[in-house]
Amino acid sequence: MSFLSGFFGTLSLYFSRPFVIYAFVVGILISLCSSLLGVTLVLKRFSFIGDGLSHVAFGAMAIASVLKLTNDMPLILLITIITAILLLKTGQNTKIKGDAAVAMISVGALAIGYLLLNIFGNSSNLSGDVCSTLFGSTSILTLTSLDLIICVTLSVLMILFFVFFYNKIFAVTFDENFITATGTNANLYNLLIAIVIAIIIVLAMNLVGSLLISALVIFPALSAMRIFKSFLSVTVCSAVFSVICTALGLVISIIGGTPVGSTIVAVMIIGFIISYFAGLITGGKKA
Amino acid sequence: MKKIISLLAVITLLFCLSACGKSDDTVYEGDGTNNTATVDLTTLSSTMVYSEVSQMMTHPETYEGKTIVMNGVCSLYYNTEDQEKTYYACVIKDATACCSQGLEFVLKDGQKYPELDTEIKVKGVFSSYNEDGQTYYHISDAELL
Repeated sequence: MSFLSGFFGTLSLYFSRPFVIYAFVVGILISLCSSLLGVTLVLKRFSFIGDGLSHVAFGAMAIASVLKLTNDMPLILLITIITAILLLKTGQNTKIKGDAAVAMISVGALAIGYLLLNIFGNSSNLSGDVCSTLFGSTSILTLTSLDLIICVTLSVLMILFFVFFYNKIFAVTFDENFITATGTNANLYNLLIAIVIAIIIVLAMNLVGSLLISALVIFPALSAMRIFKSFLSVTVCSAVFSVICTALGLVISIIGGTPVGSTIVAVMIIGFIISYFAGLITGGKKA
Repeated sequence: MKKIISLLAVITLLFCLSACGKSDDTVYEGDGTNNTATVDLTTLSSTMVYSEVSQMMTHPETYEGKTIVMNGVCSLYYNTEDQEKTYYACVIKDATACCSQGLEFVLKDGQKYPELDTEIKVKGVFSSYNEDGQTYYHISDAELL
C-alpha cells in the first residue's frame, strides 16, 4: 500500500512539470497516428519504410544543422515528404524495386547525414547530438510549447485525414486495381498516404528517435493482427495498443530513469508477445 | 459518425493546446524540503533530472532565485578567452549516457573545491551573472553536502 502511495506520489510530482504533460500529449498523439497508418503500411508490405524515411529525416536534420537553421522542421519535412513520395509512388515501377530502394536510401541518408555533421557540424557534442537523434534520448521531455502546438495540430490533421478517407485508404490498401477501375485516382491517395507517413515519421523522431520509429509503425499493427482479422477492428485495436504501450513506456521511463524510446519499444515487444498468445487462445476474431 | 469523430478531434486539439497555457511561468518544486523554492534534483530519476536541467538551460528565468540541490560529477572548464579563468560545474548524464548537461557552481567563501571527476552533491541558489556582455546562469553561494 505504501509502495502504491509512493508511486502515485512520485507520479503526481513529475506530472506537476509542464514538460512531462507535453511529453504525454505528444507521445500519445504520435503513437495514435503511427498506429493508424501502420496497419496500411504493414498490409502494403511497406513495414520497413518507416526506418528508411527516419534515416532520411536524420540526413535532412544534418543538412539543417550544417546550414545553421534555427527551425529545422520545415526542411526536414520537405525532404522526407519528397523521399516518401518517390518511394511509395514510383517504387513499384523503377528498376530498383521497393525494398532495395528503401534499404539504399536508408543507409545512404544515415551515412551522408553523419558525414555532414562530422565535416561541417558546429556542435561541441557531436556524438551526443547524433545519439539523441538516433535513440530519441530525452528529446520528448524537452519539448517547447511551440513544438507541442506543431505536433498536436499535425496529429489532429492526420487523424482527420484517416477518418475522412478511411474507405479510400481501405481500398488502396487491398486492391489498387479495383479502386482505379471504379474511377478513383489511386495514385492521388498513394501520394496523400506518402505525405502523411513522412509527417508522422518526422514527428515520431522526437519520441523514440530515428532508429526506433519502425517499432511504432509495425508492433501495434502486427499485435492487433494476432487477435483480430477485419481491417476496422485491427485498426482500432492497433491504436489502443499503441497508446497504452506508449503511455506505459513513458511512465516506466520517467519513474525508472530508463531511456524513453527503447523503453516504449520494449513495452511494445512485451505487448506483442501477449497479443501472440492471446491470438492463439482466441484463434483470431473475424470482427 | 465522421462528424462525431471530427468534433472529438477538434476537442482533443483544443484540450491539448490548453496545456500550453501552463508553460513556462509554472513554479517547479522539488519534494525534498518544505521550502517551496527548492528544486531538489536528487529525488528525481535520471531521465527527469536531465529534462529538468535542460529546462533550466532553456527557461532559466523560471528557476532564478530558487535553491537547487543536485548530484553529479565535478568538472572543470576554462574560459576560451582567458585560460586563467576556470569554472566548476556539476555535470549529469541522460539515461542513454550519450548526452550530458552541467550547471556551473560557485562555492561559498572559504570552501574547498572537490577533486575533479568525483561524485558531488551541491546546494545553492540558481542565479544569473554578466560576463563579457553575456548573461550566464550558475549555482551561487553553493555548499557541498
